[in-house]
Amino acid sequence: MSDTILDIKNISKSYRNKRREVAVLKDLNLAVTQGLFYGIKGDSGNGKSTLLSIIGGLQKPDEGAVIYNGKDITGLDDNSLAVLRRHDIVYISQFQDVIPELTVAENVRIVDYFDGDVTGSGKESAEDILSGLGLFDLKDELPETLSGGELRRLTIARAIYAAPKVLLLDEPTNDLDSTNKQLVIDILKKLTARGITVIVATHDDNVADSADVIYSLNSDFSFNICG
Amino acid sequence: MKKRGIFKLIRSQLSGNTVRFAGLVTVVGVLCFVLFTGTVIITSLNNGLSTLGERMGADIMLVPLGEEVNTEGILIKGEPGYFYFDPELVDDFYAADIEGIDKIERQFFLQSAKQGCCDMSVQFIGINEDDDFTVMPWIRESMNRDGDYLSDLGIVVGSDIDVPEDHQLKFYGHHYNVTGQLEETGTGLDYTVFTNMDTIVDLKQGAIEQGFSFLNEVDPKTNISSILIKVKDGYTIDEVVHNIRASVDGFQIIEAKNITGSVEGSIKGFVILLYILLVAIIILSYIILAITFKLSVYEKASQYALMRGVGASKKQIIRLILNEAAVISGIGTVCGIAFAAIVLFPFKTAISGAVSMPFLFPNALQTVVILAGVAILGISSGPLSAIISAGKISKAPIYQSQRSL
Repeated sequence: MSDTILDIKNISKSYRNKRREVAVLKDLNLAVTQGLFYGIKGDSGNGKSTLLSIIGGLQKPDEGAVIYNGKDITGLDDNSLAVLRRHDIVYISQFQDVIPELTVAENVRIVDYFDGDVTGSGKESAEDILSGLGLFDLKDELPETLSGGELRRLTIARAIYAAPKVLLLDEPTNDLDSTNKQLVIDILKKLTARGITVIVATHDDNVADSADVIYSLNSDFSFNICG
Repeated sequence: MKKRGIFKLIRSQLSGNTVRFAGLVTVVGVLCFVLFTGTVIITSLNNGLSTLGERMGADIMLVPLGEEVNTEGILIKGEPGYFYFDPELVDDFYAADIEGIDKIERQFFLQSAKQGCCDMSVQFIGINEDDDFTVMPWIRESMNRDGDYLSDLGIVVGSDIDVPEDHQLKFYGHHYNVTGQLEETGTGLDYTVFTNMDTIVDLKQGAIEQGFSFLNEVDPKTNISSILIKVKDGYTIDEVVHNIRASVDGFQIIEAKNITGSVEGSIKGFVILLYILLVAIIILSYIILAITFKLSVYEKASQYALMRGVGASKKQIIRLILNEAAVISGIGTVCGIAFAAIVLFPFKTAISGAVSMPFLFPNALQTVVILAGVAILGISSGPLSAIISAGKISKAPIYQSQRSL
C-alpha cells in the first residue's frame, strides 16, 4: 500500500453534447503503484484521454476523487493544481503541442517561466535531456523545423525536464513511424527504470504491450486488467 | 532571472504575429500622439490666455475710436500696426481729471518696414519712462534685475524676435542695441520691440531719411497711440469706464477683462472641440484595442491552454497577457509621444503663429506632467483593454482548449 502513488476512486465524468449528457467514465477505480509503466487501451471515445486529464488535474471529475500521495487533488485550488501540474503529475497531450515561437531548448525549459526558477537548480539540464533524446543538435531550432517524431520527443523532453513523479501520455505514438514508435517506447521504459510512474493512454498494441500493467477501458465503462 | 524569462516568453508571444503587433502599436501610438498634441495645445492656449491677462498690466486701455484700430491684432496676433490720437483729445482727457484713475500710461505704436532698411517687420511700443507702470516692471521681472534698458537708444525685444550675436538690429537704416529680451508670452507682444520715446524720435528720423512719409504728420512728443489706466483702489473698472464716458468723447474704451474675455470665448469653443475629439479618440482606441486583444488572445487560446497544462496558474496567464499588452502599449506610447514631440516642439513658432490666439507652450513642469499623464494613459491602455479577454481565457477549460488545436 505504501507504493501506491495514485488512487483513483469512483471517478465519473460526462460531457454535455448538444442537448444530452454523454457519460464517458462511470465509477472508475484504479490504484497506481510508483515506478510502473501502465498502459490503458481502449477504442476511441471510451474515455482514455478524459481519464488522463482528470488524473493530470486538467479537469475535475463530476464525482469521485484522485488521491495523490495520500491527498485528494480534485479539491485543490487553481494555484496548487498548477504547481502539481508543473512537477508532480505531468501530462503530455496527443497533439504535440509546443510554443512555436520558442526554440526547442526554450520549449523544454518552459516550466521555469512559471516556476520563477530559470536556473533550473536540482534538475537535469535541458541540454542533457535533449542529448539523451537525440535532439541536442536541434536545441536552437524553432519547432516548425522538427519532424513528427522529433516533436513527440520534444514534448517528452519538456516533461522530463519538469522532473515529474507521474508522467501521463495521451497517444504518444500517434502518427509516428515504427522507428520513432520504438524510440518513444524505449524512452518510457528508461523513465520507469528511473522511478517515474508512466501512464499511457493508447490504442497502439505495441505501446500497450510494453507496459508493466495493461488496463482496458471499454464502451460499457468497465475497466479491467488485461495484461 | 525570473523577469528575463517572462520577458522572453512575452517576446515570443509578440513575435508570433508581427502585423497585429505593429497594428496595436500604431493604435496606441496614434492615441498618445493625439493625447499629447491635444493636451499641449490646450495647455498652450490656457497659458497664452493667462499671460495675456497678466501682461496687459492695466485695467483699461484707451485707443482712438475708429475701424482702423486693430488693438487685438497687435496684442494677440502680433500683426504690426499704428494709430494715433488727436493731441487735443489727449489734452482733454488729462484736463478732465477723471475720478477713480490711479495711474495713466502713454504708449506710442510704430511699425517697422518690410524693406531692406529694416531687419524685420515688427511692432514698436514706445513708452514714457516717467509714467510707465506696465512695461518697465515686466522688463525688470524678465531680466531679474533693475537696469536702464531703454536709454541710449537701447531696445528690449519680445521672445520671438531673432537677436543677432552682436545684439544690433537695424530699423529704418539706424542700428539699435538690444539690451534685453523678454520672456515668452504666447501673444503678439512676443513680436514687439519696446523703446523709450527718444528711440521713437530716432526711428521717425530714420524713417524720414529712408523716404517713408507716414510719420510726417506725427510728432512723438504730442501724438500717442494708447492710454493705459490703472483704477484707484475703492473704484470698480465699470465705474471708471462710466466716468470716462461721461467726461470725454472720441475714445475707444477697452477693458482688459474684455480682451481676455473675448479671447477666452474663442479659445473655449476650440478647447471644447479638442476635448470632444480627445475623448472620442480615447474611446475609439480602447474599442479597437479591446477587439484586437480579444482576437489575439483567443487565437492563442491553445497556447495558453498548453501553458496551463504545463503548470501556469490562471493568475500567471493573466499576468502574461497583461504584460504583453503593456509592452505593446509601452512601445506605442514611446513612439506616439516621440512623434508628437518631433512635430510640436521644432515647429512651435509656426504653430503658435497659425492658431492666431494667445499660445504659450507648456513650461518644463507642465510638460513633465503632460508627459507623465499621457504615458500613464498610453501604457495602461493595453492592459486595460486586454483585461477582460485575459480573465476569460485564463478560465477556459484546459483540456477542451488543448483539444481545439
